[in-house]
Amino acid sequence: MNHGISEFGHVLLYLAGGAIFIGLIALLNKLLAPNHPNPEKLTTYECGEDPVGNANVQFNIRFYVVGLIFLIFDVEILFLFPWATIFADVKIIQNVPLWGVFALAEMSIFVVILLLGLLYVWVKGDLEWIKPEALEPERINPVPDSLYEEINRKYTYQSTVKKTQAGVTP
Amino acid sequence: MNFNPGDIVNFSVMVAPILFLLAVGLMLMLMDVLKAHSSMPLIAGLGLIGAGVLAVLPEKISSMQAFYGMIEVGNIAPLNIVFLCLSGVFTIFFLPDYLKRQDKPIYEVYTLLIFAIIGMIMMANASDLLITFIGLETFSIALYVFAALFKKEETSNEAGLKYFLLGAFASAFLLLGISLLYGLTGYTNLNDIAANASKLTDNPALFFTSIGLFIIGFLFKVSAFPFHNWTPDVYSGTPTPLAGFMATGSKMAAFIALGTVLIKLNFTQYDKLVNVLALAAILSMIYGNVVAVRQKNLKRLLAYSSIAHTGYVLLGLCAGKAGFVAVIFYMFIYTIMNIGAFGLVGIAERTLADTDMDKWKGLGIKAPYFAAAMSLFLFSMAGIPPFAGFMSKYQVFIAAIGSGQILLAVIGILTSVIAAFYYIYLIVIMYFGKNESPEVSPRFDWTTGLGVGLLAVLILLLGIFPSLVLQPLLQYMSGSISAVAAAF
Repeated sequence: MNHGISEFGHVLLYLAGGAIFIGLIALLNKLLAPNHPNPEKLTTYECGEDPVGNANVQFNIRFYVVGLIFLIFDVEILFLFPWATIFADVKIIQNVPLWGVFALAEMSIFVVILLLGLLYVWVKGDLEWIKPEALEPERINPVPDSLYEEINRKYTYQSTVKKTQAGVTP
Repeated sequence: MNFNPGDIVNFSVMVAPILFLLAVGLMLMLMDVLKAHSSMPLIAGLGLIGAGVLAVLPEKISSMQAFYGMIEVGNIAPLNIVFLCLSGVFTIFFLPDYLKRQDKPIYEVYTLLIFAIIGMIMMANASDLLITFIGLETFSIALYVFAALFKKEETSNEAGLKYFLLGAFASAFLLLGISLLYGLTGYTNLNDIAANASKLTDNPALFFTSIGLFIIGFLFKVSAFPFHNWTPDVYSGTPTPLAGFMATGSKMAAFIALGTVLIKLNFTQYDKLVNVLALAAILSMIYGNVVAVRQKNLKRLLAYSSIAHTGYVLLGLCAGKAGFVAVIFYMFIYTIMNIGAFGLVGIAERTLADTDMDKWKGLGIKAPYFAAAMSLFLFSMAGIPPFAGFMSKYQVFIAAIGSGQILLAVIGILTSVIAAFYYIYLIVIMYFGKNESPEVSPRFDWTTGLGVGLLAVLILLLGIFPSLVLQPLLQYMSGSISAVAAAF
């Protein structure tokens, strides 16, 4: 592995490469992306809550439910990474027969248990994002709806007739 | 690399009860989803019994610890599993009826109960401090949900929030204690820490800080005196049978875990630690019993009495290794009578509209079986022979006297006289109170009837033959498992 570059040289190369890559992407973004700033876009991101006003407001509980469900899969990834690094380890495979089968079975059990959890929250309806329904204010009006419809029909008809008489196509 | 897949298979066999319970829990989750609700209590109960049987099945144990010294499987561990599973079984007798009476079809309870018991088993049988902590958190989270189970009710919400905030606070203490112990010795494994005990005393200030924080965390969980404030509010807001479970199963697990750690560290050689525990014991006994006298609400009364009982168990814990059997025995007996008492309060709660003590006037005539069962549990809690409560108190006091804690034992006996007052006062109310309430009286259905009958028989049986539990405890403790296997 001797290319005439020291270990710190590798780090430097990574740093330089990373900086160039990020610079390129940022430049590309500037060139390609549409630019329509508006005040909504410039606000601080607060998980969809309005960031202005008293911080002591009631948050929507659904954020927490989604957060909790996310956590399960975060943990899953957390366990999969170290497992993946030793799954194909040549040294272990040589020393321990059945390593592959064993490791795969072990991780399968773990993933299946988590999958069961996902199934559970899915069937229980915790994945649904219930949209709040707009409540129509109740009006108390002694005039029946049919009267309004009558008037509407009458005047709509007349105006159409007038327009046709004036030579305007409806 | 000396890893061997065969090891893991062996270890899995050693912790078979835990894995079995896990499978039962997952199955209950699926049943909940598939709407097979009616048989959930039965499956949960059978699962717990099955796990208990798996734990004591006579088999050769090749090593005392599974998973490279993480979980204890030898010594007293199998009996811990049996006791904790039984506390769950007793609770399940009262749960379906209670939820039906409250018109709250919440079936997650059974799944959570199983998972809580897994956490308790892990904590009680941990031989690594990190497993202790993980087990504690596992069952604590289930208990927080239990407290806030009736999410539309204000008292339940209050209970859940209070328990959660204070519980999280106590967990932080515990974790800091564990991390300081790790800092002192470089190990989290209990046996390694015990082997390097000299490192602990190199820095006495830090040692006492760490073990003190550790004890504080557990004193909160068992609601001992300076950390008891949450108890009455939480118990009165929690669904009643689950409050009974909270007061027994979780406390039993916490006492076993605390006792195991302290005994491994050989704590009786440090007078300061014994004095701290003794002080907590004295104050819990006095405070719990004296305040309980003034209570008018049954659930609050039982909560204060549970603080007092914590004091008695701490008294046994002060005796060190000799008192540990008494501690477990006391907690088991307390589990029987307390779940019974909470269960009966739960049955009466719906019929009599609340848990006010005055509503119980005249129940002795209107509901004779009910009142008789309640009287039996109350007499037992007061420690009157021939009920099991007497034997458990006796064991604890003998252990305390044996280790030279005469003052503690005297205070314990004096405060149990105060306790007898309020327990028997309730019996007096039931039998001699003027009957003012309308003609409704609590009734048993077949599950609760069976449960109450079983618990009552156990109280009488263990009061007369305490060796039925004490003998196996002593045998497992001394490590002669084969002798016990023959006895089974």
